[in-house]
Amino acid sequence: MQINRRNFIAAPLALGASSLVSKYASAQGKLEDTLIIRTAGGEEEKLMIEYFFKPFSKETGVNVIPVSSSYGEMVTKVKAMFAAKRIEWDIVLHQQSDIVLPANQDIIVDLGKKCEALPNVASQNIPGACLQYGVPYNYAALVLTYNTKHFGANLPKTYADFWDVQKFPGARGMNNDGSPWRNIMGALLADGVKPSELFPLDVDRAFRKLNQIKPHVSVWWKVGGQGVEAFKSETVVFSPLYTGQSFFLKRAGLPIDYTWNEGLMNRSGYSILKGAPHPRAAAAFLNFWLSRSDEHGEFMKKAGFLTGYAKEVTPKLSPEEVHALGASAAIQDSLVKYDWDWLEPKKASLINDWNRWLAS
Amino acid sequence: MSLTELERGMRGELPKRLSLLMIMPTAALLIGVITLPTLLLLATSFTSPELGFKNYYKVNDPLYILVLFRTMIIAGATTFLAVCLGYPVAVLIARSGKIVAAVAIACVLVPLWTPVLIRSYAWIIFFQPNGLVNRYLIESQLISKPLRILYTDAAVVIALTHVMLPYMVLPIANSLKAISPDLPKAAQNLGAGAWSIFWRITLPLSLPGIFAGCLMVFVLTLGAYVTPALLGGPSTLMISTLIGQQITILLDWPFAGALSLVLVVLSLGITAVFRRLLKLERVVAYD
Repeated sequence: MQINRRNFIAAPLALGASSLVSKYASAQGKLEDTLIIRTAGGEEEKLMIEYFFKPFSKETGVNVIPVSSSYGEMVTKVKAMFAAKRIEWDIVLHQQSDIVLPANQDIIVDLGKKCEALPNVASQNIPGACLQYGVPYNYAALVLTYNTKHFGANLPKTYADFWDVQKFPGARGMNNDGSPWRNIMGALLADGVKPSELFPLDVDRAFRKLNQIKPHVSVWWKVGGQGVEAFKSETVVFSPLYTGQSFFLKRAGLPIDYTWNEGLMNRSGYSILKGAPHPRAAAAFLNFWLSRSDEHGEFMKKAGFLTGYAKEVTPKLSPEEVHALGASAAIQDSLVKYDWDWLEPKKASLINDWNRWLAS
Repeated sequence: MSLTELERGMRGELPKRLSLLMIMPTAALLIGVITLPTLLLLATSFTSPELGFKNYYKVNDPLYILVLFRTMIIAGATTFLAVCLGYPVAVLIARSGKIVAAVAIACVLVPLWTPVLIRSYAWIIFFQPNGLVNRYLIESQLISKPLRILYTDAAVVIALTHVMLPYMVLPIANSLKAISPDLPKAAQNLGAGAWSIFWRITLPLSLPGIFAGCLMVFVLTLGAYVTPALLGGPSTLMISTLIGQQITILLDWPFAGALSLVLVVLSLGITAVFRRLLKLERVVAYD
């Protein structure tokens, strides 16, 4: 994916966006009255309502109903909806890896090779804005986060440093959130495997390496909030953490920083469910989401992650903000990627191996 | 011996047909919304992906056996702690005046009214290395290095006991209240001391309450999900965590159904054994 820097003239395009929504609506029929969107809840949902849901309602008259649920709840509910053949949600917010997964494409709407269903994809010219079965919601990552006060001038940079408890002493934290392939990837990076050569994952080698770090990990966080709390209370001084949370800790004025180096990609996107009760309003919202540069800029600064509107925004981000949000092509291109074709069928056995390793 | 309509009426009971009619809405709700869907999920564990016991062979794996065993241990420890801590509170509630009893009940119920996430984060702040417990212990020079409580089984058992106490205290208090005050008096008249009265009268007569309390605490703890996830260490894997993974991450519902059925059968088995050991029928039949 590339993120280009372009000059951006906000006002005419914002106008253009709104006229496109109405054009789209008239071409496809009248928009429905309501729209049901899954959100991750919390502060992020509040910001979405303020910057996108309410303005969308104002412009189109569609009443947006946000439904907050955890990732697991969402996946489970969607499965149940399709089993019962009663689809209750319009738009799901899920991992981009789930959007490109062929197995999922039976349940989400094909927007066209170039997302022809969303006029703004072409008119706004946002790099990477079309995933065919969805559009990007954000570009986040799992990044090595550390306490700068604890490490002083000698700041860690890599997973090898994370494993090096002699050179970088201090309590570690690690994610235990149902995605053990991330821990396995970290272990292999620490063991000297190049990011481009991680897949197929050498699982045995990774667990041998994980054995070395296990005694030094004091917190195995299940949800990001736990990781945040562990950093705040200085229970840990070094842990992989999701960018939104690391950003939050840093912005709160704590001596916390993070490196994009060896960051593991964690991107999410919006898709429309097949059989959604309000399909036209759903498409109109996705189109709307890919506009409004001003709102995206403000939203990013408050939410702490780069949104799917991955190009120059107004008002401009400062160089520090660009770095903190990872809002540059250089950073995004450097992130460690996954081979989902390899990973997807092995998820169950990896989770089993992980549970067994943790329990022993 | 069955009662006649008239006898029922005299005891303030409703006619059978009317009482059946009155429980219909609850029964319909329970059957339609809980029992049937649960049975359907459990049924898929035998039918999907193919007819047979394939999902159950998968349960027979050292990991699941170990985790089931650990789940039982944690539930057992929580139940034991809850009885030990809950019994005196139940005695206080049963023997005190209205105001003291109401305050005690409120204290016991507060954790139940607090959402589990808030409760768990409160425990995190309480237990963490520079949290209240450790700071107090260090300042009073009882220990020199912070104790590691958070993210261990101990933290999970303490937090679970905290929230399970009402399920233990209320039934015990009820059974204590039901003991006729004449019995201890009669025992005293016959020369029994305080300990003797407790061991030979109060405790045996409160056994139904203890049994009900233990059963509820044990079974509810077996299914604990959020507390072990937030306060437990990496090895504090409980079976509901693994069932949750199958449901929400791996989407293998039939296997999740198999794990759940194993848990249900185990809980029922333990209930039966418990009943036998306490010979409850004999105790309850004092009426």
